Amino acid sequence: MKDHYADITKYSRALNNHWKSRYNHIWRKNTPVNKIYSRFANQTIEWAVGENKNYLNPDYKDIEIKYSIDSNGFRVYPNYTPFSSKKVITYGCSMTFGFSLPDEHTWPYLIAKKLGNWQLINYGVPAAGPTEIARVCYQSISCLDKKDYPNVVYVYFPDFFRTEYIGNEDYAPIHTHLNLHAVKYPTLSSVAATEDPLQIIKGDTPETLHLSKLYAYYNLTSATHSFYEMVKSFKLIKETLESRNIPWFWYTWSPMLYSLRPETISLFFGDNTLINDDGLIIINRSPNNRGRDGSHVGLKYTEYLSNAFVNLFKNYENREINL
Amino acid sequence: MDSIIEETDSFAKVLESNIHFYRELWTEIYPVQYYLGQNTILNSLPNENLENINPKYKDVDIKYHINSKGYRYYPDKSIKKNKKAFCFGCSFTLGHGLPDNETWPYILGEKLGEEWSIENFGKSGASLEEIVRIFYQVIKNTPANEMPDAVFFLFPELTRMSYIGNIGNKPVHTGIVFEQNPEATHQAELKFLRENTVNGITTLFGRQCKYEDALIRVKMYAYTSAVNSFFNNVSCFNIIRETCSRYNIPWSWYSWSYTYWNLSREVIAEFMDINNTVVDDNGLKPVDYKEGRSRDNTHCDGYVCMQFADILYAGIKK
Repeated sequence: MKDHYADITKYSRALNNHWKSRYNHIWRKNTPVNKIYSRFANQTIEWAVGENKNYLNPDYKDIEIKYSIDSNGFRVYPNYTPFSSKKVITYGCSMTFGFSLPDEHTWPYLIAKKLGNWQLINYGVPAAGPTEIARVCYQSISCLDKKDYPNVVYVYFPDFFRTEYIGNEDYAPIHTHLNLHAVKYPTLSSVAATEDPLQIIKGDTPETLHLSKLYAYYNLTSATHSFYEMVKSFKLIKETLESRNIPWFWYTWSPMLYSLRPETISLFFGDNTLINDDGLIIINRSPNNRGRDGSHVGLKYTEYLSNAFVNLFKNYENREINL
Repeated sequence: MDSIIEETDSFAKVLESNIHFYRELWTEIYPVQYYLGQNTILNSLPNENLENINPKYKDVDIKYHINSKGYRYYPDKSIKKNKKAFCFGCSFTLGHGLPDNETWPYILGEKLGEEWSIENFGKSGASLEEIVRIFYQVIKNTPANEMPDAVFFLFPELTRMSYIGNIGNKPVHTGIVFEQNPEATHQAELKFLRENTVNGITTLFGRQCKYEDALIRVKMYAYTSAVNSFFNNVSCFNIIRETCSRYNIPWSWYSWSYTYWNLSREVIAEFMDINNTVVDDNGLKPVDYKEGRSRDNTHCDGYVCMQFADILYAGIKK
């Protein structure tokens, strides 16, 4: 029992000693920081982190892509001039960040234009999962004065299997993905084959210990658990925005959710999305319409998504006026 | 690619065909607790160990009155009054092994005064996550004119997280294997599991579940980091904060988690809240546990509950 308490004290001490240096971007009550891109604070970069430079989509051969990064690591639009005092905020992953797209092809930019040249804040974080998106949303909204609230918020969720694991020794959250039965990640196969989990967590160094824990977590996450985590993140976003009367709409590129009935979508999430009698409306991610890296979506998709999102808001506004 | 599509489709099918298992999780449906029964009076809880009775409670008549939703109620405190308080937590809130008047929600009701009614939503074995889920669902099902005038939370050990298997089982909790002797702890867990499994069904925290799911829980237990649990708690804490703010409900919180007690005031202030609980220069003010135990010798006694009530009362008065 004595050892048990000693350990608890150790963990608490780690948090007490390191929260400012290691966890300072996670869940704090101030403006969010995209830690990876904050390395490029106030700079313009030509390639996103991890962007595939070996493949060049011919459609983007002659299009220059520049990512302008603000002091907190989020993408900004230096050549965009808003004419309105109204503001739109967007949250999501690389699809929202506009990975492999020039400014004017990203859906947040298109939305801001279509709403009538509104002010735009794009909080898209490449590789973010629902938990991270909820965190960025909570942090960015809870630190605002009422006069600075956005007039509308859009959240574009990634695959919900991106759950989050934050290790004791490593300090940035890492995403886990589900070990789908059909897709065994090769690097994990040796872990999966190990019967005794304690053999896995006995890493030789803090790094391998951490990685091995992550891999184990990776293997153990169930689809339902990931789904549950996403619903939880959804609720935090919902309460954060709705307690402040901020209208918001969501959509996802997670194909898992496209297969759910509309009743199930309503039960766990909400109808403030692109939905019809069959469930979520599927926006086709055609392989012929991709960004520079041939992987992320291209302009046709972002045009379609931005139109659909703008229409959701217009319909909401009309309903409010009629009421 | 085909295999991925097959898998994704199969996930949706699993979820849809087991929707009756999952529909109560994080949806806005009233959270009914089934394991204690409904509209009944129990002399002991299903998971209460009566083999080692604390002599102090040998002659104390303990009755658990269970309401239509499966929560403990107090015949003299749960009746409708001008003001009402909702209490959320784990077995320490339910009052495991304690008569009504020694549980903290009851004591808190006494402190609040006669015009207050008390509803106890304590659930044995609940993690903070499950507590927040119950709270969220209760609030979403309470009509605007019947909202509570105050809400109180006693959080359990923060390393309790929820894990939900794919096969239509209820969520089970994970925790931490502290590293002094993880192997022994893990082996003890596995042994316990093997010895308590009949026909592939085992029991965790008083709830039945499949052996495979329990095994995963034991493994998850070994892998969850304290930091991961802490930040998961912060996320849940913020759901409470935002929901209470949305409905203008004053609230107060405290925890019996040693991990919380060892966190500095700064950390509590930065990630949680120090304005609706009791802190001193070192962080959360620990209660005096002494040897105070309830009838089953595991949970806290009335003396400790009194301290919980004092702290939560002081927290709401702030």
